[in-house]
Amino acid sequence: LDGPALGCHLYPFNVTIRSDRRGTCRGTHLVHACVGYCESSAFPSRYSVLAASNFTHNITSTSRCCTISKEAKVRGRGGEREREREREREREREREGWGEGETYVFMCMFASLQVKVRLDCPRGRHHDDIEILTATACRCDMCRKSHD
Amino acid sequence: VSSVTVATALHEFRGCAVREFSFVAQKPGCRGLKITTEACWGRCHTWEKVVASVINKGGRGVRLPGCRADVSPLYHYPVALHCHCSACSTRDTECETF
Repeated sequence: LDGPALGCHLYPFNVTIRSDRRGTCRGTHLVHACVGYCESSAFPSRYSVLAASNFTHNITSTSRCCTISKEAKVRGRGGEREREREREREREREREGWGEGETYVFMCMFASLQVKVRLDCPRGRHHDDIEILTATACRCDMCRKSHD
Repeated sequence: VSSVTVATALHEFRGCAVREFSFVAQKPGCRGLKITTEACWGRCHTWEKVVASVINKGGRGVRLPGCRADVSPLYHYPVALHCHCSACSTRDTECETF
């Protein structure tokens, strides 16, 4: 398949910061977002889900999203807690899971970094640098509406 | 949309496809029964907030074993016929993250 590389990766783009709506002072900085492909599935719901939904949700959808994480662990070198979580996910997949083949979950690593954007102003004006966030690594993780 | 086979190189697959799935059908008052059916699985482009979703589904029914006299042994479950990366529909789907 053509297109972006498999997994969840850094995506570079230029962001322009303006001091006000008129753009009196402005600065541009290269930052990174997290963009990519993460695993998801849709399968018959457990009875507890059926009962809780009054038998309207007969399908359960589970997914991960490409996110910015604040952890700096790297898969394969990560701590024992991360390895235990992955082992538990593997056991879960074996108990009620998929057919032939290996379920592949790709995880990049992610941390965030604050960068300072210097704003250029017309002669005689000054504006303090503005700090914004940029990703330095990415991870397929729980989907969230917003990040803290 | 396609069925994923081993020859497709699962670790390289992007998109959403019908895939064999096993689970234990259970309900109170009956013993469980292992069922193998078709569900949806894949890797969707999460920038667009889409997930592997069932677009067309059928249904099957089985009889669970060992049910109490006051419990119906019939158990119905959906079968994925067509899968696609799309927004999770809360109309008929329990949308979760893991």
